[in-house]
Amino acid sequence: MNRASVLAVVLLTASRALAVYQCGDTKDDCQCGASNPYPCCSNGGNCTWYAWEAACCSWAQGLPSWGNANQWTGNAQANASYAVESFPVSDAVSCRDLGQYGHVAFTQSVSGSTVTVHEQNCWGNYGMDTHTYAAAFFSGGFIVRAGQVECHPGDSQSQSCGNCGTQARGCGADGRWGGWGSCSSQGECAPGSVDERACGSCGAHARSCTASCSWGAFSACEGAAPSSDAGTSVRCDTGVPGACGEGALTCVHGELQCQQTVLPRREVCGDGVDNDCDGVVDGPLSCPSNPAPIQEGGASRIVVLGGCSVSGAPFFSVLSLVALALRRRRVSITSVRTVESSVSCRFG
Amino acid sequence: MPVATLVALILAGGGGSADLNRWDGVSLRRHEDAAAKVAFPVPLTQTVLTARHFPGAREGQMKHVFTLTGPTVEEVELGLFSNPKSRSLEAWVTATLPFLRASANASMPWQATVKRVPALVIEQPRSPQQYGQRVAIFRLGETVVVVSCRNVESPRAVSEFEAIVAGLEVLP
Repeated sequence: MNRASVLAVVLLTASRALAVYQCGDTKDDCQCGASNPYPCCSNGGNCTWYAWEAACCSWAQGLPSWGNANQWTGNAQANASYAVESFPVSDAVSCRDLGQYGHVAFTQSVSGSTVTVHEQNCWGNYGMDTHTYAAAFFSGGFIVRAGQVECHPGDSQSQSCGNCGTQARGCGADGRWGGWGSCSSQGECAPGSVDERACGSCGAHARSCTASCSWGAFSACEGAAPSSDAGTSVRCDTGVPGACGEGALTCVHGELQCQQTVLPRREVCGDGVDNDCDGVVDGPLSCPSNPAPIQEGGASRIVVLGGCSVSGAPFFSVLSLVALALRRRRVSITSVRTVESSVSCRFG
Repeated sequence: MPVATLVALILAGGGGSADLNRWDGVSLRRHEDAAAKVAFPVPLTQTVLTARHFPGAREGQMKHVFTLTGPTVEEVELGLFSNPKSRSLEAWVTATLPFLRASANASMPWQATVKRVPALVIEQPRSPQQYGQRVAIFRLGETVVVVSCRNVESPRAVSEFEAIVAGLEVLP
């Protein structure tokens, strides 16, 4: 055998084993680790050649040589690297398993119950064509890579988010979930959170967020007594006469109040202090040696505090004072303050 | 491109020195796969062997897939299916790969593996859409083996197919 005949044999043998590099206007130039194993028909097209090539280009994965188009679905079902969906999805091999050879194409888009594909055919048009079919035409389903399809196109999902809100996502035509939408219908707060605010002049109150993301009611307005820099209470004047005027600032229901810290006690005669807080230092009722001050042409006021200047019940103390005033006929009762069991008298 | 390469190699190889890397259809090596527990011959050169294992494969899906790819295209596929219901070959094919029963295909008995177990060989003729394919199916215990020659017009593919069908062994 001479060299020419050897070359001819080699070329003949090699060419039969090699893949077709180009079919119609499409070249087998995508990188997927293999070459296209299908023949090309004389019209410059072949559905199997084109579908294999489209998958190679889109998936970077060489499909097995599954034979005639009507065998692709069955072969894919037997191969765990692939899945066959009964609903149309984009980026899939659309398969028709009816007819003598069947038909395969590569799905570009899905719209309702129609699919638009790129395809070639062994007859008719030259090269690649774009065509829209009813999805049902592809009776063998749609071949995808295992795990490629997450959901049924058109499906939706929702989940809770934020403060009792919800967000949703939809399944795209490619069978994959889209991104989550914005969080809507949220409540006013996060469950368990606390809103604390100042109230009054010295208090604070708080409210908690309920499980349904709405605020509960505010607690009572309360606060701590103010203190000086040294940590002691802040002194104030209660407005009560005598020793009882001494007080300390406290916070009651959120408001500052001067709370009396010295209670009235028995008058100590001669100490120069209004111990019984009747407004008179060493007054005549408690200290008889001291005459009651008489104001010229005016009035003098006598305040009797129950339990201090007169023994017995405050009511009877008041009655005693009234009797005394009437006997002297020098005073007239102007008012009786039963709260403090005191009597104010005006001299007549 | 491979054709051009071959031409260049032949034209440059006037001295008669043999290309040791060239596929000769005879030189084989034995490939053992521990996961699938099988061994089979593969060409010594110019063949890429890819093994894929699917432990979670459903019934009717290949649990182990071996692909032999030549310089350009896939030439042979070896698939191992489980057959838990111990179906006969005919029943298994009808249930699992019914499309092989197409009227245009021809079936014939064969013998496979080193133990010469009964096999079913199905010939799929060339069509406008595909090169002719040949599929051998046989049982090894509860495993069904399917060996597919992807192009009966390719001497390489046929040679590899026949070597695997005849030389397949089950590992202990």
